[in-house]
Amino acid sequence: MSSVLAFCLAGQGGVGRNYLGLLGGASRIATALGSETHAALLGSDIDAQGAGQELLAYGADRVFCVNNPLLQEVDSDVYVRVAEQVCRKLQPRLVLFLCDDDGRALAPRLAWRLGTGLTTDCTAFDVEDGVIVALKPVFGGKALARVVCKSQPGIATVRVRSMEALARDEARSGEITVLDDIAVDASWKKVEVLDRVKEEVKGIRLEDAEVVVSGGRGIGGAEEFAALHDLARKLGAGVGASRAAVDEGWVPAGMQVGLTGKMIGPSVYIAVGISGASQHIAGVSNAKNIIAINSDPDAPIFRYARLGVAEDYRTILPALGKALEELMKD
Amino acid sequence: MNIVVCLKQILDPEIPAQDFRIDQERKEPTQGNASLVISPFDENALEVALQMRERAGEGRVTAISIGSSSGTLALRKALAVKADQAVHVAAEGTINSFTAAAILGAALKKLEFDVVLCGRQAGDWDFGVVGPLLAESLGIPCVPFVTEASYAGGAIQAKRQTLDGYDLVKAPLPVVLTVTNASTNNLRYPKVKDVMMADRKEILAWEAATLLGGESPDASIEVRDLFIPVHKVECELIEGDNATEKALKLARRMRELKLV
Repeated sequence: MSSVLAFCLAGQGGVGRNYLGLLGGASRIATALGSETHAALLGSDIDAQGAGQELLAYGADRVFCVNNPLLQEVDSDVYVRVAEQVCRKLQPRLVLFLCDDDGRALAPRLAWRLGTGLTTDCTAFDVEDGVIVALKPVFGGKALARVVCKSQPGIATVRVRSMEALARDEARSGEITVLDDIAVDASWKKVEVLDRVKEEVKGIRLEDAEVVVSGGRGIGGAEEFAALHDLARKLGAGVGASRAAVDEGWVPAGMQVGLTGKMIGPSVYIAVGISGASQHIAGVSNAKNIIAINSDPDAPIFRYARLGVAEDYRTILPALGKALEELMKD
Repeated sequence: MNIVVCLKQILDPEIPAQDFRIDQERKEPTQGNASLVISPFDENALEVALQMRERAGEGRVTAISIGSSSGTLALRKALAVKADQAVHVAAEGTINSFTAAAILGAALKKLEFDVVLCGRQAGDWDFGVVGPLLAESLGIPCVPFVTEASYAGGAIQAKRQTLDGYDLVKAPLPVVLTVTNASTNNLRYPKVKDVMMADRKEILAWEAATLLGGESPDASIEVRDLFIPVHKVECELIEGDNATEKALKLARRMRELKLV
């Protein structure tokens, strides 16, 4: 039976939450194709049974595990050779990766090796007369393309948070197979990590925040971000930024929200001094409510916002923070 | 040290959504009033290349671009910021990422290179695959999402952006680096005299068909449709006599809508 194969690149960690969404997407496509959903779990020190059961509960029909100390880090020079062997062995119809840094680095290289095509950063799939059609935002989100892979397996990377995980069902069962005939060789590793530097981010992690206050070019400087942090503290919110603010050096890159930054889905996104370029909006397309504060009433951000204030943020934010604090006491 | 930086010339990705139109026949956007620019992440890559040459105190930066025979604007700009050499590979029609990687791979075999730099993804089709594909076609490693790099002791040291900071990595030569934006790699402005000089410099003119030697790489993907999505959000604009009043009204609305 043909299969849709979702790669879960675990490295040293477990299977992250985003992979459950990927698996949900894989399962829906597999159902439409009349195929099975397979998950390939790659990493080091993996609890194959434990992690495998979890993947079965979230929609996999079969789980294949490659467990090797050399897979501790998701190094694309090593992982691509492993993924290639797994694909040649399992012969899937469609291969899915998450469109995160690891998937972005790996999927194209796998496509080259398998001599097939791929579509990146897909947000939906349709099956039409047995043909898989991927929907991909292009031109920074200003347009959508429907893309077909003409060779097999088709490969696609799936936008983070674009697909819903299936409801967890412990009653689901399936086979968990440890693939012990997959070669992994230390000589494949070419790039050495000399140091791993974490940049401290104040407050709540952007990906977890229910409310996010985010600033753009209109903020005017690094120190001016203090006003956003003040409001965020009052709301228990995370603080994000547009690419413009990162390029200006006002905030670290880890705060960048957008097509090439973080993809987030808070219930409220307060965009301050952000013009609303489509590339930025792509990062908050899952936000339930956008509130725009921008001194330019013609800024595109208002086209995406539920509530808007066309006013300088410098006067709005302190007053807004105070008013919300009062109201939230009630 | 020989550095090759791949530049894609595209329609300005910053044009507002309301001015964006599609030519359904070609499944490409129409140019309209949009100007042609270097794809933004390729500009970052060019800056990283120039910084590598400066730090090493030696080396040669070659800019290469594929496109219709008239498309040399990106290369002129690269020469204006003091790239040493420019190569234009003429190719007609739509060139997707797979074809581009095959053409660049063939071109690189004619050039000497230690480091190849590409933007992490092009600002038009946003595929983000040329760098990794190129690494495969050349059989060399690829370090993605680099913001800075330097040449040290026969190897490359690079800052690779991560979700919450960066990794300092060391890679052997030759290597492909894909570049992402940071405050440290905004492309410098050229000097006026260098812009004028750049207009007089020679650009090597190569042909994609010759480079590929009759092979036509099958891209294996096909764009069936290209369309502009409709999104309907009705923005409720908060009015008021002054900023304080607007802030207060906004706070009340946020509360009424149970947003906080």
